[in-house]
Amino acid sequence: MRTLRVAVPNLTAVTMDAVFAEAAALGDGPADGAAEELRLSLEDVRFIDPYGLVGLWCVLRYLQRRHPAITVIPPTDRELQGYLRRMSFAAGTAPGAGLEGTGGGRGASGPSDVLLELTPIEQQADVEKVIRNMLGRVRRILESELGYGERDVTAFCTVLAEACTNICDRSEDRGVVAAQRYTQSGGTRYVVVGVADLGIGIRQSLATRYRQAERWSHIQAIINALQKEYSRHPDRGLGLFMVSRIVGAYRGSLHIRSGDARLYLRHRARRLAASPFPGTQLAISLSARGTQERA
Amino acid sequence: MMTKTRMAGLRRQKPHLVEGRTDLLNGREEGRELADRLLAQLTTSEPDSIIPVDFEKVRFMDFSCADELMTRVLRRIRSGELGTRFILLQDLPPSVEENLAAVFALRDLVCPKLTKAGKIELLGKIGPELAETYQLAVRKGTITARDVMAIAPDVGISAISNRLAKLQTMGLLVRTKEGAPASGGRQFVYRAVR
Repeated sequence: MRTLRVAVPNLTAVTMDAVFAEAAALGDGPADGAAEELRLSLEDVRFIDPYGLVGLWCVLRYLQRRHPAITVIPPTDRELQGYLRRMSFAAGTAPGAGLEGTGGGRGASGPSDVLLELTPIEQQADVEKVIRNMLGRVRRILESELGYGERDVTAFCTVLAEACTNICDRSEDRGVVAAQRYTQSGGTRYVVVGVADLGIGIRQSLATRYRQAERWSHIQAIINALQKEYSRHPDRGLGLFMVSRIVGAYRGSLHIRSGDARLYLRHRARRLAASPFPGTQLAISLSARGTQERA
Repeated sequence: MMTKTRMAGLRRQKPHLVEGRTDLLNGREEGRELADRLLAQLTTSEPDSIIPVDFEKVRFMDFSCADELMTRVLRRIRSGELGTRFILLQDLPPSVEENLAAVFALRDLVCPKLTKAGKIELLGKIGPELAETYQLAVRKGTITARDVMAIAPDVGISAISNRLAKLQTMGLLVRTKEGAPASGGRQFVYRAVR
């Protein structure tokens, strides 16, 4: 039995690439390892944000290609165990991966900052469910705790809808979304959204329309995808463009990973190296009510 | 003394109710279906019609759906393909209006809307001079270039004529009469789409 022990204590957009790299290395290993049972150990992990969560979903699905049976060893941190339960991690990664053990930790009945559990996105109707959830229970949280008004809730729903619709329209795969609100030690409140799929990635998606895209680097493909009307479908391409504009208006950040590239947008764009890994993974953060200028 | 050569009054028709599978409209496919339904009503309506597009039953419409619905319809209107058939937005929930405004801003589109107070306003991307000229037409019902000169005395007649022609291209004014004023020459009369 092989074991992949995640050594990174905090799974976020900043650190998650190390886990993708380890998974990719394992996935590309010799064929004699195929069909062998695999243990993915999260014992050393202390914190997972929504991007880390959807990233783990990608890692597990990726590894399932070679290891149909995967056992996930939960974190030793009981708070984090409770968080994974509240985020429906086990249900979201089943049946391919089983989370070992069920005891301990603060459960679903405890106070929760979860806005959206690990939610599958397979078709447009799933996007509608996410939006309905946002406009119901979550809306009240956004209003009371982040000071969001109707306009802000609309912007938040638009970000979620566009990011999730991209999975249905462009990934040629299914995906997941999760969201959580946080309060920094100084009292600043913000929301983090993770959206991910294991599909064809941004460059290949654009290559269905732009033949030259196959010669682009992955980072160039990501940058192009953020431009107005740069899309695999004529006269579209406003999805990521809109997401980036709203994120900018809300003093947030946008992290996009696809192929072997990462782009981090906060005030300005930063290109970051990444390990080759399939699909597209997004981390979006939006701050509490502050900037009112709509994109 | 004006000589009438053609008449074209605009009549508001029965509203077109925007209604999707649920009260949450999302994605391009749903937007296309909604656009097809609205275009079908537009193309079968009489010429010189304004169809109020009613969003009363919509709770939320995402950006992609709004883009697919309104961009397709407004571009068809602007192309002249639908003749003198226009739309007017009404009963817009704030969240729907927000995403429509974002679509219009990105696509360089504009559309009249009826406010809850019964006023006609414009939603979308339009310069202040054009908006002012359109509002003059809304107030007066019909306008000529000479009417516009009264609110823009420093602007030349050809620039004003261009302004009116641009508003016509945007689907906000329709040319209704061609007349010969007493002073000679030719003069067009424009009616507001409202």
